[in-house]
Amino acid sequence: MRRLIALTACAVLVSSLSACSIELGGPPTGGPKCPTRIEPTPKGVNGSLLLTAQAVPNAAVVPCLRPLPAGWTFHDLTARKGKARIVLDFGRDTNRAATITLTRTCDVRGATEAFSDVPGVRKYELVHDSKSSYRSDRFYVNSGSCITHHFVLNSSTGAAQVSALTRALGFVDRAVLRRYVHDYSDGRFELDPTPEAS
Amino acid sequence: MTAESALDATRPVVRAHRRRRPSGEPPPLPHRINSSGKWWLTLALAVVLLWVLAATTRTTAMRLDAVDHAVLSRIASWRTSWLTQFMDVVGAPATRWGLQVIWLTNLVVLLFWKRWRHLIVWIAVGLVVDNAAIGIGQTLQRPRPFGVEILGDWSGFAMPSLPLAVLSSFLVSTLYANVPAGRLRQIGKPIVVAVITLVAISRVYLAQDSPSDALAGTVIGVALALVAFRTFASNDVFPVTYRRGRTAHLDIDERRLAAITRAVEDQLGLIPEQVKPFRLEGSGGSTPLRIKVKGDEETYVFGKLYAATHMRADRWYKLGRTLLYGRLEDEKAFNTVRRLVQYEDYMLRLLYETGLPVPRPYGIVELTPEREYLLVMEFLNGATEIGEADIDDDIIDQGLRVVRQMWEAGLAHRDIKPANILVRDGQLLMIDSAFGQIRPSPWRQAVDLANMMLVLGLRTDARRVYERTRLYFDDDEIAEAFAATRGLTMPSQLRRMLRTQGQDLHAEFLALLPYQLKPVRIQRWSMRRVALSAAILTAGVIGILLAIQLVVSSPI
Repeated sequence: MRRLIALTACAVLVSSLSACSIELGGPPTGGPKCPTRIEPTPKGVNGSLLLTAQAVPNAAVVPCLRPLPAGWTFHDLTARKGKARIVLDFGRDTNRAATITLTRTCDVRGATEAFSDVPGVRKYELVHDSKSSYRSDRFYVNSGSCITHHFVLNSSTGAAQVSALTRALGFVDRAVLRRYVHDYSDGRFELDPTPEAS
Repeated sequence: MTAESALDATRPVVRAHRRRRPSGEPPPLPHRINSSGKWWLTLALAVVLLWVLAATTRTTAMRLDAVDHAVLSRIASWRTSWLTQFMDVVGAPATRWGLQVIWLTNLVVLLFWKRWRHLIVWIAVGLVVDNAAIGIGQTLQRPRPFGVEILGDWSGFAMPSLPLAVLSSFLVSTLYANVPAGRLRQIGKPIVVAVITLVAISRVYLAQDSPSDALAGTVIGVALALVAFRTFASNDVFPVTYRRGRTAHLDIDERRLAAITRAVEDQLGLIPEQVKPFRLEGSGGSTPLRIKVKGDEETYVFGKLYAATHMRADRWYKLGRTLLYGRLEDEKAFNTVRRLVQYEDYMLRLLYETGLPVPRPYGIVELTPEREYLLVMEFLNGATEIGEADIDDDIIDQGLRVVRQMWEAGLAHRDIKPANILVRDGQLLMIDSAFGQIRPSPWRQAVDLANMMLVLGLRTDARRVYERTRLYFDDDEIAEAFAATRGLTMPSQLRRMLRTQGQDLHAEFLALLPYQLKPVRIQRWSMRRVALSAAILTAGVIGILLAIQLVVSSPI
């Protein structure tokens, strides 16, 4: 009977774990963090950031997170070949309020080109404003990749909340990550395959 | 009276000297502890240690990356287009669809053969491995291989390899849940090893995993699955078999046969010449055996083999009765096989010494301490079940006298049904004292009477049995019997036979009574019954939801 109870308890525990296994990806790491230092030697590069960069090998620019403003929390990072997705929550009620996606390409139809503060990257914006909610998309496009910022907030103050979050959404040049891996391995290997290793 | 002298009284047998097992000597059937499980656990611990070192010391992590990179670079230099296509195919079992196929196939097979224990362990292991691998990956945060083009699909962090961890656990689970132990399983093991190895090679070739990621995933998957099946669904207790019939029966293989032969000789002084399963279809609580012992004439004894599987069956049975009845009578399950066997032996001896027509007990034989025992008693040669025998008034009287005698001795049989009442040479015999009770409740005594009347009425008629009953019991007692007995209080075999005959014997008896008493309320509710019912209901709902989720979604 004890073993049956233990087995049942395990099954219940594990089944609840399986339903929220994505949650395990969140804290304690907080997702792909922007390097704390770029020159002379990159520092503070975590595994999440490198994995994000590996998802799209041709991405010249990789999304990263700076310390998040109050109310925003990291939900999870999902990275696979060809796509990486970072999800952030806002407050208690708004899950997946912001999604940052790195892909090879994206569809910018309907979006308006805007000023880009990221060198070598074009920016497009698309806002779906309504009285009860705030939805907008931003696309950062370069030749090898596209970074999409998608915001969905259930309040009329969404624009202000997104504005606050924007300062925490960073970009890191792939060359910085390459340098980091090169230095970490003392030159034994690189972030990306060299032509003869492909 | 010893077994030998008891048998000598009826038939001359060849005696053997009884022998006490000295300290240090293994029992007749030693419990086998497979060492391979410990080896895999050790490997798993080594992997965990490596993780801790890699996570805490930069040098270890860098060296591991360097070694992995060197191997991957060398392999990458051998790539060709046809080899890449071949490796893609070889790696199919570890893909989303490959794993889904393995899981669903196992689900169907295990459901079809009703191997519930194996199915629960299978699912639990898969979930634990899956979640453990994901959790560890998100803690270690190891990126995919550096400096090499990754040709295959990948998802999530690299260490440990989630697809290999899940595949390994699935294949080991498949082996232990579906392949009978012995030669077949021994053949299956290298096949599983070969499949895992080929898939790992494919994933390393395609640079989906580094060699250390692949190794870690495999070790975790195999170790957890192996330990889980050996702990919760060991073959000794839950053998994998494809024979139809009750799975509680133990396999009487050569090893067990030799142990029984030796143990009966050493402990009872009898020399078994032949041991064969006997009427397995009628038994679920033990494995019944007919044992021929050496003697001048053909002499048999009857043995009931008990192991942990029977003890668990007893627990489930009592749990079911608690849920159906509530706390009407003591239904405490036995904690050990020893106690289960001791109880039945004691009850049998009590019934026998009371003068009731039960088999003569010869004693308990220990095969594996605390795990496996044989209860030996007289074999009722030539006896037939009462449902197939000719019944006359004398047989009816004998049956009723048995109940009267039990009442007066303060005993109850509690499982009076056609399979447990035999007739031989005009004598009624009663078997299976496993459910017997001392100083039973009046309700239980009344149920014994009613069940005996119903059993006797199966081959005769209600009026005849009723008239004979009035010779031994008064109207109050008979009325009480039928107020206490209905539905669930009758053994299922008895209910089934009454239905098959198409007669409502119970109603016929009630109609004969000069008066009827108010039916005794069967249902009793207690906190324990409420808590158990709620727990089972919750587990059932979770199980169904889990099953649905597992069927429709991929393990990775």
